[in-house]
Amino acid sequence: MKKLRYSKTAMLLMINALWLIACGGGDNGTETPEPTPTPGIATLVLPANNEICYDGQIVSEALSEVIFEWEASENTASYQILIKNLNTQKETTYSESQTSREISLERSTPYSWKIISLSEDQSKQTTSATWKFYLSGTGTENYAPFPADLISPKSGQTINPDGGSYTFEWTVSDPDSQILTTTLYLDTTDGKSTAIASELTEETYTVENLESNTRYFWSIVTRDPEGNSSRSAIRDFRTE
Amino acid sequence: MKKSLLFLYLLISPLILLAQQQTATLEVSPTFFGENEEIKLTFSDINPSEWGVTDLYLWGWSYDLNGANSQDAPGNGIWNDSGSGQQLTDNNDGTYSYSLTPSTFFNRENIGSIGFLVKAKDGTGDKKTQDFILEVGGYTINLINPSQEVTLTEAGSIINIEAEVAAASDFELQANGIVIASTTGSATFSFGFTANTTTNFTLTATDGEFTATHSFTIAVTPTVTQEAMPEGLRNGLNSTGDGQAVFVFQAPGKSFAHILGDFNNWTIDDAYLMKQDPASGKFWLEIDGLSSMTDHTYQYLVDFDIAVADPFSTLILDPYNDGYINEDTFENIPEYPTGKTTEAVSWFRLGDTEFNWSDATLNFERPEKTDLVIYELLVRDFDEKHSFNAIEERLDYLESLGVNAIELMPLNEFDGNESWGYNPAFHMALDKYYGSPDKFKSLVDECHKRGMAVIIDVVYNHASGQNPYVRLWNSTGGTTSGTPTEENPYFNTEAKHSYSVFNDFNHQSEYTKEYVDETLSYWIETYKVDGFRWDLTKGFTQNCTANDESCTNSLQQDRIEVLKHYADTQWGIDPDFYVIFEHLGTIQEENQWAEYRADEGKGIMLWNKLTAPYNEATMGYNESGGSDFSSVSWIKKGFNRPAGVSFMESHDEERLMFKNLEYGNLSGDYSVKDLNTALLRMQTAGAFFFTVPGPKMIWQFGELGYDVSIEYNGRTGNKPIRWEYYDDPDRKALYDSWSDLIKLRKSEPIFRTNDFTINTAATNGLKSIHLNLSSGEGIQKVTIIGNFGMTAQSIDPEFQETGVWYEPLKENRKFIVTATDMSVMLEPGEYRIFTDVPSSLFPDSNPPDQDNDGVTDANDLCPDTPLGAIVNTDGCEIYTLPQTNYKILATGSSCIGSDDGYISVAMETNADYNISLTGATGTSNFNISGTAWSIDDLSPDTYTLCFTVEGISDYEECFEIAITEPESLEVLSKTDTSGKTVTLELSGSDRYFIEVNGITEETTENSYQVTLKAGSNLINVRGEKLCQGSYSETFYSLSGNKVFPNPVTDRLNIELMEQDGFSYQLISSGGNVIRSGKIDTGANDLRQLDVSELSPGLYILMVKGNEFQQSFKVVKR
Repeated sequence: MKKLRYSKTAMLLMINALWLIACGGGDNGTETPEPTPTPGIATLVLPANNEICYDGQIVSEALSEVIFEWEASENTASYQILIKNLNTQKETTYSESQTSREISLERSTPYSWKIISLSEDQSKQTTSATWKFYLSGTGTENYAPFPADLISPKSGQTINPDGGSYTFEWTVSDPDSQILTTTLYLDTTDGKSTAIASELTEETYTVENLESNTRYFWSIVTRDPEGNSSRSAIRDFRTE
Repeated sequence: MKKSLLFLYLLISPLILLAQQQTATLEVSPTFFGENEEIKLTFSDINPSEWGVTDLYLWGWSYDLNGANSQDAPGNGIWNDSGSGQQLTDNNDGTYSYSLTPSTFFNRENIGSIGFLVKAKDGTGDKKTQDFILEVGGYTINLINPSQEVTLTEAGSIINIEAEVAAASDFELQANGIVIASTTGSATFSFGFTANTTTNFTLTATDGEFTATHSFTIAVTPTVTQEAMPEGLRNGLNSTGDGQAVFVFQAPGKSFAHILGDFNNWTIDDAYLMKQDPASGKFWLEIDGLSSMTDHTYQYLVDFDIAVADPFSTLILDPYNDGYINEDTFENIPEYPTGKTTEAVSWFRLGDTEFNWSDATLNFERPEKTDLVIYELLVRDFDEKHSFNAIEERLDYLESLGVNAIELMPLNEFDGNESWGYNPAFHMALDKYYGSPDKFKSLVDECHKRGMAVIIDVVYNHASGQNPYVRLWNSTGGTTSGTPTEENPYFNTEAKHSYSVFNDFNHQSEYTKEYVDETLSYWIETYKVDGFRWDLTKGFTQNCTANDESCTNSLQQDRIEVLKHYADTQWGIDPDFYVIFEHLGTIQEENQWAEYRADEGKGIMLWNKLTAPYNEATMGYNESGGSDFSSVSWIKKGFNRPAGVSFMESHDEERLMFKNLEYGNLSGDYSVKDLNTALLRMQTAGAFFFTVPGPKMIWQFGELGYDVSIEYNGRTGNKPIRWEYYDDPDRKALYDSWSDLIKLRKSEPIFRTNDFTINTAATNGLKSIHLNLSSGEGIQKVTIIGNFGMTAQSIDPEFQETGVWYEPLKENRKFIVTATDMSVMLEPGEYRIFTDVPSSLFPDSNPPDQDNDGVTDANDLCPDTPLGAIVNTDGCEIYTLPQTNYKILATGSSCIGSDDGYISVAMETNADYNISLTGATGTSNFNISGTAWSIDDLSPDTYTLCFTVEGISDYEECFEIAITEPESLEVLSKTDTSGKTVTLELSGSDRYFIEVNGITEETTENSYQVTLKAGSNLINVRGEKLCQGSYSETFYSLSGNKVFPNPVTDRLNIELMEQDGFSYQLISSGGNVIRSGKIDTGANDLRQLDVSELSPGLYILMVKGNEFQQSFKVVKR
């Protein structure tokens, strides 16, 4: 925010300067014109050519401010900065009397830019080389899945598996609502050592051959497609 | 028109001219004959030659005993070709004979008379004799006057008795058994008789060989003795002991009545002329000397005209139907007095041992009205034996179901044997098809022993044509098929409401009210029944017409009053009698009855039909409120008290299970048409039915999911009886669940509460009921939830409080409610009933667990865990944070090689967290207080992020967080065989920018097709980020290159899209390079090769440019 305010002030100063130049021109109107010299080629400085990950100054999710810099060219009264969005091929022109300019641009976008040096009466102009750069954006954003909510068996419960068979139940959720897969861990030690079944998409799984009169521990690891995962709380239960 | 008339005339006139009928003479031997005696017919005065034939044939026909129903003899043949078996024998003396036995010749019985004629084989043109008619039955008296069996006349008039027989005979006339005249040797008889009293005559004739008698009565309008009737008598038979009975018969406007019966051999006898009570106009007569323990039968003969059974009969004999009543059902039904009278006769016995009622009946305490669970049944369709006895044998079944009342469809004497019973003929008589009075009493007594009340269905809107009061004033002079006439004091000529069935009672008539009051009283007093269900009470108005349904359905004050009067009659005999109306009308009108004398604990109950919404619910159709059965609640229905008898099914409604199986909804694999699914949904319906306070009724076998349509075998037709359902485990499960529900509602006072709500309108099919009680012992709160939808759904049960709840029907299993709105998942068709305390009615399977944490006391190391805490198997609380406590956002690095990945965490719970982050480069630890944490400048990696809480051991939650970086761009190109398109297989980015010859397109697809222009094509591809790299390639399309003409003679033109020069080789079919060279000419010019001197044959021209090489086959001529 602070940056933006600063940049507005700079614009106002620049407009005043142009107005002063225009007035000065009026005073010399009666002299015999001399041939206008051709401006030299501006040498580009920043952003560097083919910069593939130029950060700029991040001002919002969408925008960064980029400082364009070049070296002054001869016989030049003012410059035009031509910036082309290479995704849309849309070109924008800015006028500048100094040799740098701070411009707010869309992030995550490739640009090319060049400087046109203008003579005082603007009848002659010279175009610089064209440089390209990539204004970087944010990286991929992703929320990790919440730990699974273990429904059944209830923590601490004593269950009576039907012939050793018991259906475990849980629910999964994710702030991104991505497709989640789960792995069921079940053992008699810590509930995270032995994966019984993985890549599960249902929220139930029937385990056969539970031992009777045993204390079990279990947990669920939930995984999203981006590689984030969460482990539920580890719960224990007994069998009759 | 003219033409056809003329044609008819021509047709008819020759027939007239050529009429050939002959008049013959017949001699019959013997003169008098019965239908099984052979007779010989001899015809004379016939000349066959007049018909141009020599052979003659008999044409015969016969009539029944009433001279009707004429049938041709089977052997007649057809008119133009008589059957050869009926040729007459030529006696060669001018006579012709034929012998026959009528019953075989006519192939029928009960022939009254027979007819003959004689004809030519082809009878066309009237080649026949006149008709001969002969009486069958032998020697009979033809009584000419009086012409009727019973002749009415005034006292002092002279009646000329005239008779004839077919032969000269001797006559003897008896009057009341005394010979008063005799004649000899004449075929006719005549005698003048002065009629002073009613006299029964017998006239006897004999011709020496045959004897015939004929009985008739001359009835003299009697003078009826006007005499006050003894006090305290009711209509009908009043047994006064010692073989004495007084008969009382109300027949307004009739002049006199005689009693006919077995005791006077069904003769009209002024000794049995009834007296008349001047005050009431009723006829009455005391008869003495009736033998006891003997079957007696009688009728009233009214005005010598119509003989009817006593309208107040308690049993009748029926000439048509009694023969089909099984001896097991009803023993020793006497013979009908056939030949002595017609239609129903009253049947009674005196001096039999009275039924011995048990104390259960004498001291019976009826269930509270609000507790009633009534089982409606039709005796005929409940058990194959269709008897009271059979029901008695099935009472264990009903008792174990738990119903506390049975309601029997009408038992009053109805037309026929097999019926629903809504065609009542005698409202006070028990229909014999179900058994004897004592069998019914035994059933009532046995029900009372089991705490079950007995309600019977009474039908006072109407009566069938058999009813004596219909017959006495009807359109057919007293037959059973007439309709009431204007004079009828009991019945309307046309129904005064829109539900016309049979003959409509006029309930504004004082005669009708007396009839109803006395007949209904009889059932209460005699059979000790506990209540009546009044059929079709909407018909009890006189205010409407048969077509005016809106009038019939709106409030009618006259029927409100008359039905209150009948209620008073019932309560006058039995103050706690259940009075139930099938009215199905407006709540305004029904409330007048519901409130009537309710302050005295009486009040009338009203049928409350809920078939449609319950069935929609069970079928799984919950859209637009179709399954909203909230009117099962008397509060929602609009009553002020539990006055509605709610039912899902009755005898009159389609069976829910039939529609479930026929029309049930379907969702994936879950189909209501599946039998067990449908049965389970009936369990859920039961859970939302029996638990609602107020009376309930079920129709027989609903508890077993009976699924035969009501329309099977016709609506009122017999239905298959399926006791085998009880052996089907799925059906038995329904019975068991309803039994549990009934047990619960009967025994727990909360199911009588006025403080309850029912929530049944949701279109997703989720329904709930909440009951509250704030007094006494036992359950004080109930929450019932159910899913009538087609998929699993979670419901907010809106528990009244948090704490330990119980599921009584699941062995009182505990259910911990940590929040009143905690959602509970219900499978489709599932229900659950929760109570605040366990019900002592059901077993308690909960192991000892004083802190209700699910860990039994024996294993519980922390026996005082707070309710709802999550515990481990030691019963000790586990520290937990909400499942959604950590909302973790991972942001990958922005470009390949930039280490600017980022993790931010928002916590729901404010706590002192210890956070460890482990990546490839090691572990970092952070301690924070609060609800947010973040870290940036992470290099791409998978990190393990673990949280613990300061001071809490055994708590750790870990996540694996992937910090990604953009993938590098991969492009795979593939040129198709035509060379005109290139397919790019793209990976590594979400978006791709593809530049073809300077024009950029964007795609998110992983495959992109480029159409090449002729010549060279530059394709550049980049991803979203430049750091992903880029791809560039030039493709050359050959499709524009050609050589012509081909075949070629001298100059071959080569046209190439490539502008630069090229080299070429011309190769012979043998593989030798014939010529090679280079052509440098400019763009798009035609380049030519002179091939004129080549020898004819096939050549290959190879052309090679900077970026391409191509070969062409060339044929030289």
